[in-house]
Amino acid sequence: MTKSYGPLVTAATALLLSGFTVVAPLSAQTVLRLDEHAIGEIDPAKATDYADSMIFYNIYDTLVIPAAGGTDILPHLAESWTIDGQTYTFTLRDDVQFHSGNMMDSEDVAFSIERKMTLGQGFSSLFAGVIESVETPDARTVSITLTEPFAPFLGSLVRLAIVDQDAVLENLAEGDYGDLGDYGQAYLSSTTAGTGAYTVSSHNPQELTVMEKNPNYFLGVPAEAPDTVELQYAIEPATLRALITRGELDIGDQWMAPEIKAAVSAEEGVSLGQVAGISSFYLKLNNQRPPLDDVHCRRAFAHAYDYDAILEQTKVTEGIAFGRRAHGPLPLGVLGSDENIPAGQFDLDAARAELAKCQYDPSEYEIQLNWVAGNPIQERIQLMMQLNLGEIGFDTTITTTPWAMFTELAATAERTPHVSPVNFILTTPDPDSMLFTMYHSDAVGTWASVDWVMNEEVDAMIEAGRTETDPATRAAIYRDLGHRLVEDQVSVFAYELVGVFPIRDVVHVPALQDEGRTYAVQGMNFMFREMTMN
Amino acid sequence: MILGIFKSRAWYRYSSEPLAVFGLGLLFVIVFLAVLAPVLTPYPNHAGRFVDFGNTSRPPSLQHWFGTDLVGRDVLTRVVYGYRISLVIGFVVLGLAAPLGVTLGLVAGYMGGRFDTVIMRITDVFLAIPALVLAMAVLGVLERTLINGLLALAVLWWPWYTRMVYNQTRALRHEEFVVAARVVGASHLHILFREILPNLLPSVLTKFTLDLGFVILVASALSFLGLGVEPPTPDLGSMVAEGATYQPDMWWLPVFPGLAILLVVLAFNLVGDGLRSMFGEGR
Repeated sequence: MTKSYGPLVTAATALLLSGFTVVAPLSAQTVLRLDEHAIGEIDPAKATDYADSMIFYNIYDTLVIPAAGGTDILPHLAESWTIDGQTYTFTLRDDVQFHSGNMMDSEDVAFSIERKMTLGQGFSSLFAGVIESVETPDARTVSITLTEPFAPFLGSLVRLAIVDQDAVLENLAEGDYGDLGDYGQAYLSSTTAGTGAYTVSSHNPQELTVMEKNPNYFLGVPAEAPDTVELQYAIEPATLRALITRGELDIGDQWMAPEIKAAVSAEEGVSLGQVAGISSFYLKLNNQRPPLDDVHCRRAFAHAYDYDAILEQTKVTEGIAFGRRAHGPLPLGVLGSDENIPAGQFDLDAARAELAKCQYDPSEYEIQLNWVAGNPIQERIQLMMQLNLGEIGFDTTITTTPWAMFTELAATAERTPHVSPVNFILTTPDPDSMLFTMYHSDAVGTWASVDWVMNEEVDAMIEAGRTETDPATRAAIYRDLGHRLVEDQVSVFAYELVGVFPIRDVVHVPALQDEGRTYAVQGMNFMFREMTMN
Repeated sequence: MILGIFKSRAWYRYSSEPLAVFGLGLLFVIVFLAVLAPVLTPYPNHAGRFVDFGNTSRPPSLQHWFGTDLVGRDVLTRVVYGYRISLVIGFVVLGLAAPLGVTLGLVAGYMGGRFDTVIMRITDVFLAIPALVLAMAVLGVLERTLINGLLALAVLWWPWYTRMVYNQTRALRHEEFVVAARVVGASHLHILFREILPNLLPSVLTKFTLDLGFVILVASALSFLGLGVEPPTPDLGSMVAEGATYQPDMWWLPVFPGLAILLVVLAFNLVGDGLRSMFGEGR
């Protein structure tokens, strides 16, 4: 009996075992699905938007990284550095492998800087005119010399991805850069040549980017982190809501209307995650266009904004709102922010009193209140502004522009609407990335600088903040600047923006769900290697 | 005089179609509501500059039959006011596009030769460009006002009438009654507008009534792109587009303006059908 059953038992055991070895890894495959607005740009020299940044911090690495829950800068690809005057010397890790299998060395760093600056796109403006030379004395040492002292430099490095020089050079297409062809633009806009914890397995910038775990990541990727990540773009709001409800999408985007977030968070298995202290919402006033070139008219506008009513509107559920009271231009917690800067006050009598001091007669101007299509809260705010400005004598029109058209209008002061709502999220942990981009004369002409401040004294303060290296002195400079911008009422400092994301309980996102784990950089809170799938 | 219509043969034929009569009645109700909106609606100020953050997103109730929207405005009021702007857009756009398109189509089809070539090639060019793109291009050049929005829509609509009328005119121009008219020395104008045009009216009118609904929809797409009706003016298409964002939680936001569009398009269609059978029997 035993004898005759022997082969059968062996075969069955073998079958079972082979079945398990095949089935087990399959069932352990975890997929994380999330969404963001289009488009997803994966070339690290061009990435700027939220979706771009979400991808950037997963497929590439930077020399340094901000500390979770703070603004300290920590080692990452560089294990240490020294600062000697204007020269920063970095010692690189020797155990970092690119997705291609090549080892990272100092040549890659020099190449990455060169490529970013030559293409001149994305966040290259952070370094424009700042870097004088890059030297690579040996494979593990890079020294970067600056043209002048530049305090935000270390912080800016969180936007400098290190790309695989050899892989890029092997994949050049024809282009405008001589021997370097297209500088790898075609290659890097469809695949990755980085060191990151994830690799790109497919990418369509309008629809979907699929990323897979990198088994050779130098810090290791925990087994609990998602194996595959699907980042979907431009999903219709009603579809998005249905996908989350049905469990077919795990993390929703922060731009969903508060009413929808409230509705999905009421469903079983969905909670809300938050990112606070890195972004603000402004009603930008065009400082160059009459009547808003007069500070008294601008103050009248600031008094016509109903701060409390709008904060009430930002409530998603009890205890969670996407708006907090703003104290000046910087979100509280950022270097140089100051809660002693007075918050704005809604007061139509005060608005009328300011208007009386304004050199312009409101009846002679038709004020253009713009809002960007697809942002319903902005429309509500402009309808409120229209009503209140009407009370103090201004005639207004509300215009709706798609985002692309808005960025076009922002190119000249004449075409920039009188009042434009703008969300701004820190692009580096340094306040300079916010203040310079929004308020310095050299940065005008973009969606972020639609206030058209163009004030020499403000420029001088921003520059002083850049060249001063002592953090305490810098903080003092930025505090003074904050008071000054509020005094001049360059914008209506509407509210601090809190990113609120619906999250299904299949995934835990420390940066969004745990206290003190937030990174002060746009998109960095979506590092998939830190997430755990349940 | 007006009552005389109801004793005419045309009305007799029209009224033999119960659905057509229903459509006409519906249209009268809609026009009546639109014209008398300030008197009939419960909160006429909600159609203009009005915000009440204390009363937002309320479902239908006795105070607000169609609920309130995201800034606390009465949806019923805004739907009725929405009819005003929709009707104006529909009639103005087609009032400009149809006569122009029909005339060009008649001339091209009847005269032939160079008229045919020039007019129809231009028509082809306009037909080849996607409608919304064309309207956006026109609005890119002109200032973005409602009047210019209407002009842009008219520019995009006339070629369809030209194309349809051209084809039918080509078929009719060798018919015996046309030849007969020519033989007795009738002028081109007479032949075009007194002999050929009456034969085309049924299809033109039918297309006109069907198009009214489409124009209203395209106008709403333009508003969504920031090229048409601007807030706070109520526009049915924009209300549906915005309300669709909040589905299924706030069903009342898109459903009522959507029904309103459905009813106005249905009314025009039924009237169009009625007109067709009226003309059909009279030919």
